[in-house]
Amino acid sequence: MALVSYGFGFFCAVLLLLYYIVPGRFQWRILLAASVLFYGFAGPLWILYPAASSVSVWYLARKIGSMTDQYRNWVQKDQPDRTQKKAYNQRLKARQKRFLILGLLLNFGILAVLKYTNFLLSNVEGILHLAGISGEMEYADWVLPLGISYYTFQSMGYLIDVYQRKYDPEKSLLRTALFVFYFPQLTVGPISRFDRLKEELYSPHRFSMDRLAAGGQRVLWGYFKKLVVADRIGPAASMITGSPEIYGGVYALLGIAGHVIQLYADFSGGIDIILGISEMFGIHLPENFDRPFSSRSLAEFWRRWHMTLMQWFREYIFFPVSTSQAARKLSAAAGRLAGKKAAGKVPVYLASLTVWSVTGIWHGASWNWVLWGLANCVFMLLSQELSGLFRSLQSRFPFTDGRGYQCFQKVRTFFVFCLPWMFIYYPAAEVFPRLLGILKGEGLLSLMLGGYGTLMDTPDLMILGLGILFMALAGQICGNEGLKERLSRLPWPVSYGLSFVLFLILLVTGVYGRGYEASQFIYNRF
Amino acid sequence: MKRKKINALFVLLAAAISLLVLWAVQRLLVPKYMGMVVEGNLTGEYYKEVPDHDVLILGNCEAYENISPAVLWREFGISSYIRGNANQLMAQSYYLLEDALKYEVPGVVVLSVSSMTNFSQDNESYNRMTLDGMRWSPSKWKAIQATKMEDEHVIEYIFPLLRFHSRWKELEKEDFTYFWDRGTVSHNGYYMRADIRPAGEFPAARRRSDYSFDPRCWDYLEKIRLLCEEKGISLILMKAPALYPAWYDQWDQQIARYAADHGLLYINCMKEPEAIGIDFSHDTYDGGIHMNVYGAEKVARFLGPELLKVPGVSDRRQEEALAVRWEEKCRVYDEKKAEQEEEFSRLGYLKQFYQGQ
Amino acid sequence: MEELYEILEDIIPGEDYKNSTALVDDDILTSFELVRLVTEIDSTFDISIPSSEIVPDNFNSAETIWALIERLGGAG
Repeated sequence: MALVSYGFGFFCAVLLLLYYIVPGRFQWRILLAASVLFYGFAGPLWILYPAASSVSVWYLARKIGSMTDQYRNWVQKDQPDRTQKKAYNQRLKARQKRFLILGLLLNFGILAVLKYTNFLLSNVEGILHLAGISGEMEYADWVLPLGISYYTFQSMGYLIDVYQRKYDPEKSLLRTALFVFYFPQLTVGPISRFDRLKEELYSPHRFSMDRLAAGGQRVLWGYFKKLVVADRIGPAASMITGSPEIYGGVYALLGIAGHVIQLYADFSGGIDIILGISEMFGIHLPENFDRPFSSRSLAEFWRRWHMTLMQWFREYIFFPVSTSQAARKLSAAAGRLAGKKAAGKVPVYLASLTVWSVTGIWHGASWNWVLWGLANCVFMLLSQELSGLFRSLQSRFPFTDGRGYQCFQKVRTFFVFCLPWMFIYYPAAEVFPRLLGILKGEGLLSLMLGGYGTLMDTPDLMILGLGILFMALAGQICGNEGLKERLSRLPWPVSYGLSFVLFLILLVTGVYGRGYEASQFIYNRF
Repeated sequence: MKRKKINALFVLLAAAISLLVLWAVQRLLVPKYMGMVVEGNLTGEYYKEVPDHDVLILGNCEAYENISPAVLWREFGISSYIRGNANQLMAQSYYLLEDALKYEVPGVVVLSVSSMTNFSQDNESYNRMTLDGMRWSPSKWKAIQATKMEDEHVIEYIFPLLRFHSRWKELEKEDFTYFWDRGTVSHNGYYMRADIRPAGEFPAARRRSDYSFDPRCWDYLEKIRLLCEEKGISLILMKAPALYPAWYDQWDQQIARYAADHGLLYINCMKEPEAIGIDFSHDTYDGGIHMNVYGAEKVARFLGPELLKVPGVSDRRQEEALAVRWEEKCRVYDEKKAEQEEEFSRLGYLKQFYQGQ
Repeated sequence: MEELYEILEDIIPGEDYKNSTALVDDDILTSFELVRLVTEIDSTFDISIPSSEIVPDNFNSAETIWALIERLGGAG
C-alpha cells in the first residue's frame, strides 16, 4: 500500500480508532495484526519473509540471552575469580557467536540472494565475456519484499546488541514480530534500536488530542514536502538527466541538484509522514534527518542525512572493522613501514572504505552505487587529511569566521554532496568531462530558469520555488527545536490555522491524482 | 465552566470556517462547463425541473442531441425530458432512471440503444460529466461503482476537489462568473446546435469478428426493462439517425429480437430516413455524426405520434400550469435558436463551440 | 590521565577536552577521531577496546574514557 493513496489514509484512520478503543494491553497486538495485514496487501505470501526474520531473530536472541543468563548465575553463585571468569567468558562468547553468525547468515543471506543475485550474474557474465565466452545469462525476476532492507538491518542490529550484551532479549515471539513488522517503518525506515523503541512499542497509550494534533501536523508537513516539492521537481529533473544530449554541461549539475532536492523532499517527507503517524500511536521513532543542508562539511552532512542507517553502519561495521584483528595487524605493519602517523590512519581508512562500499551496495545493486559510495568516502577522507591545512589557513584569514564563510561552506557542501550522484543519474560516464568542461556563457540563474523553465510552466515553477523556500525557512526558524515543538507552543487557534492553510496548499497544489503521475517514494526501493 | 463553553465555541467556529473555505475552494476549482463543453451541466439541470414528465429519454449523445422536447410539446402536447450525457453508459442510464423515479414516474421511457456497444468508459471526463451532476443517493454511489475507470476513486466523486485541484493554474474568468449559478444550458436535457455541416464521406463500416454485445450491457438493459415493468412504464428502444459510428445489421437484429421477445417497441430511425425526412446535407452540425436542431426537430415530429399511442401519454396542452411552464421553455428555445441561426449566418460558425479556431 | 590528555590533544587539537562532557554528542569526536583515539589508546595502554564498548557514553568525557581504560585493565 502506497503512502500516497486514499487507502493508506483510510487504513490509518480505522487503525487509530481501533487502537484507542481497545484496552491498553491489547494495543500492541492490534498494531501487530495491522502491520501483518499491511504487509499482506502486497500479497499474502510476502508475509513469510519478515515472519522468517522474526522467528529466527526471536529464537537466536533468546538462545544467546539464556547463555548470558547462565553465565551471570554462575558468577553470582560461585564467585569465580578474574581468570576463571575470563576463560568461561571466552568459551561462552565463541558458542554465542555461532548463533549470531547463523542469524546474520540467514537474514542477510535472504536479503543478499533477493537483492544481489542479478548483480552477481551480470558480473559473471561480464567476466565470461572478457574471457571470450559469450552467452545469455538467465536473470532472476524477483521482486524485493517491502522494506526488507530496513527490517533486516533493524533486526540484525537487535541480534548483535543482544550478543554484545547491551540489553536483554525479548522473550515473546509476538512482541519480537511487532518490532520487525511495525508497519510505519516498513516503507522508508527509519531503522530503530530495540532498547529505545520497546518501552513505547509495547506499553499502553491513552488517547491524547495534543499528540494526535502534533502527529497530524507532522504528517501534513511530510505530504507537503512529498507532493508539493518532490513530485513537482522530479519529472523535470529526470528530463534533464535523462537526455544528456540536449542538457549537457552545467545543466547536468542542475539536473543532479534538482534530483537531490527531490530526494531530500521525498525521503525526509516520507519520514515525516511515518514519524507523524507513529506519534499518533504514541510511539516515537528515531529522527532520520537533522537539516542536512546546513552542514558545513560532507562528513557532517552524512551525520545529519539518513541518520539511522549511518548510525547502524557506524556501530555495526565501522567500529568493528576498525578494531578488528585485521585492522590492528595492518596498522602495525603500516607503522613499521611509514611511522606512527600512518599506523593511526590505517584502521580509519579500512573501516571507511568498507562502510562506504556497503552503503553504496545497500542503495543499489550495481557498481555505479559502489562508485557513488566510494566517491563520498574519498571526499571525506580527503577533507580529513586536509583539515590541518584548512585550520592553518583559517587562522591566517580572519574573514573565515564570518557568516558569509559559513554560508559558502554550506553551498560547497551541497555541491560536494551532489557530485557523486553523477554516477547514479548519468550511468554512462561520458557526461563527466562535459560537466566539468562547460561553465561559460550565460549566467547561472538564466540557465537555471532556462533548464527548469522550459520543462515546467510558470505557476508550477513558482510553487516549487515557494515550496523550497518554505522548507528552508521552516528549518531556519525552528532550528534544532523542530517544527512540532514550535507549533505546540502557539495558542491552538493559531497552530490550527497554520495547519489548515498548509493543508489547503497541499490539497490544491499537491501533485497527485489525474494528470499527475503518482510516484512512489524513492526510498522504498531499498 | 464558562471557559469551557468559550473554547467549545471556538472549536465550532474553526470547524465551520474550515468547511466553508474548503467548500468555496472546491466550488471555485470544479469545471463550470460553460464554454465549448457544456455537457457537464446536463445531469444536474434535471433537478431544477418540476417533475412532471410523461416521457423520459435516456442515453448518450444520440439521445440528448437528436430529439427536441420543445417540438414534442408544441406539436403533440407531450411533456418530456432527456437524461442523457456524453458517452452515457447503459449502467449510468439505469441509475439515472432509478434516480428520476424518486421524483416522478413517466409513462414512457425511450432508451437510446447505441450505448449497448460499449460497456466500459473510455474517457474519464465523460464519467465526470455524467455523474458529477447527480444528486447524492444510493443510486449515485452504485452508478459510480459500476462505471468508474480503473484509476478513479469514489472519494474523488465525494470530494471533486481531489480530482480537479490541479485546475488552480488554469482558472478562468468563467470559474468566477459562474461560481454561484451556471444558468441553464439545455432545453429539457436537449443540447441545441443550429449550425450546419453537411455529411461527408465516412469510411465504409469495418467488418467485425464478433457482433455480440457485452453481457453486462444486456444485464443493464434487462434491469432497465424490469424496472420499467415494475413501475408500469412502457419502454421504447430507439436508434437515432446517424451516419457514424456504424450501426450494424447484426446489432439491429439482436435488439429487434430482444424487443420482440419482450413485447417492446423498437424504432430504428436509420431505417426510416424518408418518413423522418432527414437530409444529411442540412440536418447535422458535424458531418453526419449528430443531428443539429433541424434534424432533432424532425426526429421529434416523427416520434410524437408513436409516443401518443402509448397509454399514459397524452396531449396535455389544455393543462394550464403545465402549458405556462412550457410556453416559457419554448420562448427560450426559440430565442436561442434564433441567436444561433443569426450567428451562424453571419460568421459561418458558432463562436462558443469553435474557440481558438 | 596525562597520557590520555596527550592523545586527545593530538587528535582534537584546540578543543576543551578536559571539561567537555559531550565529546561524542557534540560531534567533537566524530567516528574518524573516535577510531584514531581507540587505536592510540590500545597501543599506549596495551589493551584492546572491543567494538561493543565504542558507545557515546564511554567517550563523552575524558573521565569516562579513563574509566573505560581502567575497566579494561590498562591503567595499572
